[in-house]
Amino acid sequence: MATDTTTATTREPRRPVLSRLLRDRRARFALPVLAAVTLAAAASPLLDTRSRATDTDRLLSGPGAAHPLGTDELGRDVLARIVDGAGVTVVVATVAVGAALVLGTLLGLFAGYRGGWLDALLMRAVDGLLAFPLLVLALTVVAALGPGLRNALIAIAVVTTPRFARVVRGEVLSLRTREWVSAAHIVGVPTWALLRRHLLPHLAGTLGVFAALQASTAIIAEASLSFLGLGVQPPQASWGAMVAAGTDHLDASWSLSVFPGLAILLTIAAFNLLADALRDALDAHRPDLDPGR
Amino acid sequence: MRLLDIEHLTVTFGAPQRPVHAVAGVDLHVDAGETLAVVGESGSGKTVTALSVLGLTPRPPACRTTGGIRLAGTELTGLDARGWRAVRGRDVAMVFQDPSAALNPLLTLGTQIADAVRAHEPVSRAAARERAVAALELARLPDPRTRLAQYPHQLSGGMRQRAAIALALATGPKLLIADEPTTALDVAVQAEILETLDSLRRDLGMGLILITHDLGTVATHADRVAVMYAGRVVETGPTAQVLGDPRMPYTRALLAATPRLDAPARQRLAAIGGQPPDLRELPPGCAFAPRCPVVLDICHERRPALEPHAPDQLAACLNPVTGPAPVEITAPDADPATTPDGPPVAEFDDVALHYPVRRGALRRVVDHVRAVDGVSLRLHPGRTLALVGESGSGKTSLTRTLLRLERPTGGTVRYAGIDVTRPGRGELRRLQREVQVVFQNPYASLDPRMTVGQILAEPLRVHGLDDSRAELARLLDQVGLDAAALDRHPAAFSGGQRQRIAVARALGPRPRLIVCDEAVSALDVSIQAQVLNLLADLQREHDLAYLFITHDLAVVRSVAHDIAVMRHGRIVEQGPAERIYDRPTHEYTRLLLEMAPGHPAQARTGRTAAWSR
Amino acid sequence: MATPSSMPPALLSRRALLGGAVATLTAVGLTACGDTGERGGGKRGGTLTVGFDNEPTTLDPALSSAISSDRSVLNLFYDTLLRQERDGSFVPALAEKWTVDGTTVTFTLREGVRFHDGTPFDAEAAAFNLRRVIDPATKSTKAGALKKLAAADAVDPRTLKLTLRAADPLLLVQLAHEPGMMASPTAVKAGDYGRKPVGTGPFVFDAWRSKVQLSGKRNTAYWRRAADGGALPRLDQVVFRFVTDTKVLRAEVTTGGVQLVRALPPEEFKQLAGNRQIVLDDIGVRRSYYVALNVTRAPFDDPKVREAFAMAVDRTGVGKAAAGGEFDLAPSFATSKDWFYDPSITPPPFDPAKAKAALGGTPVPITVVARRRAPDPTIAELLQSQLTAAGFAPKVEVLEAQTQLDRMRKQDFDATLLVIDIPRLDPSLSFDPYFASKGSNNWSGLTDTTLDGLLEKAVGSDDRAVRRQAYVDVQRRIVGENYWIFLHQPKSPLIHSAKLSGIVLNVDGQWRLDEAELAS
Repeated sequence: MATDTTTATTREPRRPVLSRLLRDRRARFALPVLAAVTLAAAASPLLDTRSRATDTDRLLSGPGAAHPLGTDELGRDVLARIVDGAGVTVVVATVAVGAALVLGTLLGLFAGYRGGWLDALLMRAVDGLLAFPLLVLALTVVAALGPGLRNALIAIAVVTTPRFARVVRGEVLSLRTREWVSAAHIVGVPTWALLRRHLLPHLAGTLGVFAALQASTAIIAEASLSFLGLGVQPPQASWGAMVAAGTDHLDASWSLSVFPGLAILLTIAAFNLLADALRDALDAHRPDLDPGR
Repeated sequence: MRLLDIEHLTVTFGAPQRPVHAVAGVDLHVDAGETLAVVGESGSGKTVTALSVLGLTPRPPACRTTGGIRLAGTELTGLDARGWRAVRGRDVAMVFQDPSAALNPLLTLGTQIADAVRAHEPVSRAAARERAVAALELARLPDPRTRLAQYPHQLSGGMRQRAAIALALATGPKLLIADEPTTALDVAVQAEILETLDSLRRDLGMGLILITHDLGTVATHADRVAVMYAGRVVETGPTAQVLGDPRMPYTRALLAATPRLDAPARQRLAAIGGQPPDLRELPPGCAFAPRCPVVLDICHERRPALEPHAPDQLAACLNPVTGPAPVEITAPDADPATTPDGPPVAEFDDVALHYPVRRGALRRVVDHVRAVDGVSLRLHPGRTLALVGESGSGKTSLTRTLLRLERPTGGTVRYAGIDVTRPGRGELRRLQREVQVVFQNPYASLDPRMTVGQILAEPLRVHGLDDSRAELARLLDQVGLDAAALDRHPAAFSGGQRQRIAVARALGPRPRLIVCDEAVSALDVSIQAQVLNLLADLQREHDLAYLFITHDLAVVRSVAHDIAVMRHGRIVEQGPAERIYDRPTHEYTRLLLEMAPGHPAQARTGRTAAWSR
Repeated sequence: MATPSSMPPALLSRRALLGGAVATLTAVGLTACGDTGERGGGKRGGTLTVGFDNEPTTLDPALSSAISSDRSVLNLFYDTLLRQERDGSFVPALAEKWTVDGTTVTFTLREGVRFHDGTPFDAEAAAFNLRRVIDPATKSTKAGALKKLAAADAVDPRTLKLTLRAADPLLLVQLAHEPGMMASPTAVKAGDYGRKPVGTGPFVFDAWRSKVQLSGKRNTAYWRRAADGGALPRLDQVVFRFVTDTKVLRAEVTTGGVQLVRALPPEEFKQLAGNRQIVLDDIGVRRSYYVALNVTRAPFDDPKVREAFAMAVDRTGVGKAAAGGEFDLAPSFATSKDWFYDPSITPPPFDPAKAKAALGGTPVPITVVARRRAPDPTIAELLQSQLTAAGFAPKVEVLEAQTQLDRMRKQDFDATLLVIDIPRLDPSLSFDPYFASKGSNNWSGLTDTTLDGLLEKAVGSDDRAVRRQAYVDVQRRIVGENYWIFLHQPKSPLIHSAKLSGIVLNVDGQWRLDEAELAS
């Protein structure tokens, strides 16, 4: 019987998600990386004068004692600029993805729970937006608004929102037919309270995993926009713009693109691995406790 | 001829420090041409036993298997993956509860079955297809040749199970294991599938292991029965003997708790007290001791061995009972089925619920699915109306109109004179308070993220009622649960306990009407009886009206005052329960009754004399 | 701009043109067969593809604004009455001879020359073109160049008489370049002329797809002959591909995708050294980077702030970062070889501390506009850093060329970073457009009468010494007032495939391609 297994598993006292996460090898890699990026972002205001100080007497010097990661084409310290750029990355991962998360979740909840023509309308619009590759859409938005970090954030939020809306709506569609939701509706729990108390908590896991994935996508999008000169504007450092600048001087200094590129790679890898680890940690079903399957 | 011999099989899951003995020393045997029924409740180990015969238990270290499994003289334990693949299909095959899980939705039946044949025998593609036709024929699938090109989704549920059986049969296994093969099917189809399995066993001389929780099925289709509890066989023997004269108190209790048509109407069922065993924390003695009505002190200390108590009949019990299985009558105050008087609490008047069928690019409405088609019903205070029908008959759709989850497309639904589709503001509050629901699935009806206290308090808070801890404790007490439950999450409770919590939640706002949508169907027999008894008690206490939705006429025998039989969106017959049970006028009602345990018609097979007293 | 809606007709006309081209080529082939005997060396045919980073905004010479570089394109389609050779001498072109008599100049025109549209080139057409330039309604960017011209009259079909308000030593120089380029009056009157040029030049306009490419095909009826008497032009077709990415340009010239490149920055052309397929020829051309300050509004209406800006900029540093050491420093638009060069003119020395003190402590917000083309954004970023250190609060906007130009025309900026190629045909062409109050490229919005007077003086004389003194004073004034800050001057060699030869250069290094040929 199907219920055999469910009983066996759910009776297993749930280990807290966090402790399970901390025992995951992927999370053990991802969390320190993300902590380092966040720390760097917090430290970036202290370093921005250093990261912006040009020195034409030490252009394109390779890694060395004074400048562990070398200097760039204007003689600025690459390490300081990577730390400075972490600020942008963290802002993108939190503000843009956060805005998309809130907005997309509201849209998805609303569309999914209400249904009807409004749902159809919203989802057609979302489908339309999702039909374009993310970067193309982001480029269009930035082209309309003009370059700059703020507009890049808006663009990334705009293109990420429909993704959240889609995912949330899908979850809501399956959740709203759950019997506990029906029971709450029947007893007259107000719609807003019902969404907040009975649907949102169940979305938390999915949203956490999805947000981590979207954070990495958003970081790539920002890096790409900045690479194209449409994102963060100089002299503010951005990893994407640093990679772009570095490609102009690859023959003179190999390290110029490599280190910011590595920073991007590590961060998005960390977000992706964190998403994987989080998903597994949230997944209540563990195969070794699942007799009969 | 001895086909399968299982000797002292143990299957252990989990870490060595915290082992979970899913199967703890089971001895079973099946002869060629014989049907062995393995009976037991959730967690009794019956499915794991079957999976070990197929080598489908997880690999070590997640799962460790010891003991011996000999199939047609070959020892199976210790086979490697390759060896198991050779055995599976050729020697032993399995039919699962859910046929869609066994069939690949992307392949035609012909391809799947032919592939299975060719995996074991070096035959040509054409020959394999012929074998597929033969297998489909054996499984009684009409028009087998055209089926070859069909996909699983093109078949009905019953047909799909037949196709799954054909897939299992195609390779000519000596032993067929059917794990709850009919649980997911409608009553009328259930019998046909069981008949098919029966005749296959006879005609092909196969051994058949029938895993089920339904004693009715056992009685009509098994030669021998093994009752399992907490990973052990606690009683085994010829079907008639075990069911007619059970020695193990658990078997007796199981029989007594099974709803039967021939039980007195609206009387308490003999429930088995307590909870199903937790395999992690088994007591040192007899696993059934905590729930046993005739428990001795020694039962808590010594684990009884399976010993012969009658010819061919073995039981593991230190205090075996004898004599015909009693029907324990603890509530003799069966209230007579009076005719209802006074105004109805709820009424359906010519209610229709049609879903548009849209096709084409323009999503034009081309037709309607008539889920509910002109249904009129009345519910009276203090009475239970059982709405009986198979899945898809529209019974759930109908109640959803009363619960305001669907708007009827025609007719009116009234509760206490309020049109539920157009309630005033105050009237809506009243509906929300006075009409409650208990759903079928105890695992889905409680929000897993909330504590029991929060779950119980929510309806009370919405309606500004007393949601103090004392009140919540009182609600739990009503359904026989301890106040300690308030701080725990639903996951900490068994199915039956959760269903009690769901009942407590429904009772919170002091409703006048509770809709029970298959409220006990997902529960084990012993727990089913507990919940049914509870509902009956609460009805008497609070003068509640129940709208009881079920597919099983026997289940509602103990609670229904009135019965309405629904099919294809219409009521085919309705009336007082006694009249329906005694003199069904509609053919469909009669069919449903025949399928239910305890119907005299089942005596025909001869094997079930004890069952149909 | 090619909008999608305009595509189908454009394609159609292009196809029609291609059809025409095939017909022409056939005709050429036939003539070529007949001609082989009488012509000596000089192989004919082939398509020259040019990598060009500075797409013109118009092909109407009267309206072209990028003073120097547009001419490399315009020279394909247009002729002038006379030509100026690299050594400064004048030779006949559309005019066979001319006489200068005080304020009257008389040209005798070549006979039988026709515009590409078949209309005859005669004195009336020539007069039309010159009148058009001086007509205020035309808003010609070249009007200043011919400001002494009072009237142009066709005496007879072959005789053109120009009447001047005063003697103009620069008149012939001007007439040998854009202001004197002859366009078909019929075509000009037809409208949308900037995109449909019709001249008498060696190549006939073929097609122009904005931001992609522009092409001209051989003018089979070209009047000019090579020194050996062979027909010109030698090439069948010239294609200008508009590529702004210098890396791409370098890659294209390396792989042979283009055979001629207008300009590459030092970090790119340094990588081409040693490649035997490619010729790097230092023809003395420099790219002169400058920052023009907008004096029409605060803060740069204040000379002190302008001086602070000048002191804030480390020109050597900029040169090191942006030109990889391949640069000169000069006081202005003069190279050390120019006759008006004076090394004693020096901008305020680099002194950020002094600049900061002069600004008084509060960061002065300014907007710097720069063009999105390497290395300009890098220079802008470096300037931003240097300016910040010197007490400015600079905001850098990196813009597309047209946007930057629009902003400058509207004087919606504080400082603008730009570059021109020097030398020019005459110092007046370097200074007048930018520093005369009525100059067409007076980015700073100057209305400096002293400066205007000096510039007048410089062009009012034939005497080299007088002119030199005037230009030295002009430069001293500009640098002294810090209207502009002249940055570094990267070298800009001519870069072309070793197979390409016969490029004729203007005084300022712009190309004429009528004699160019490609070895196979």
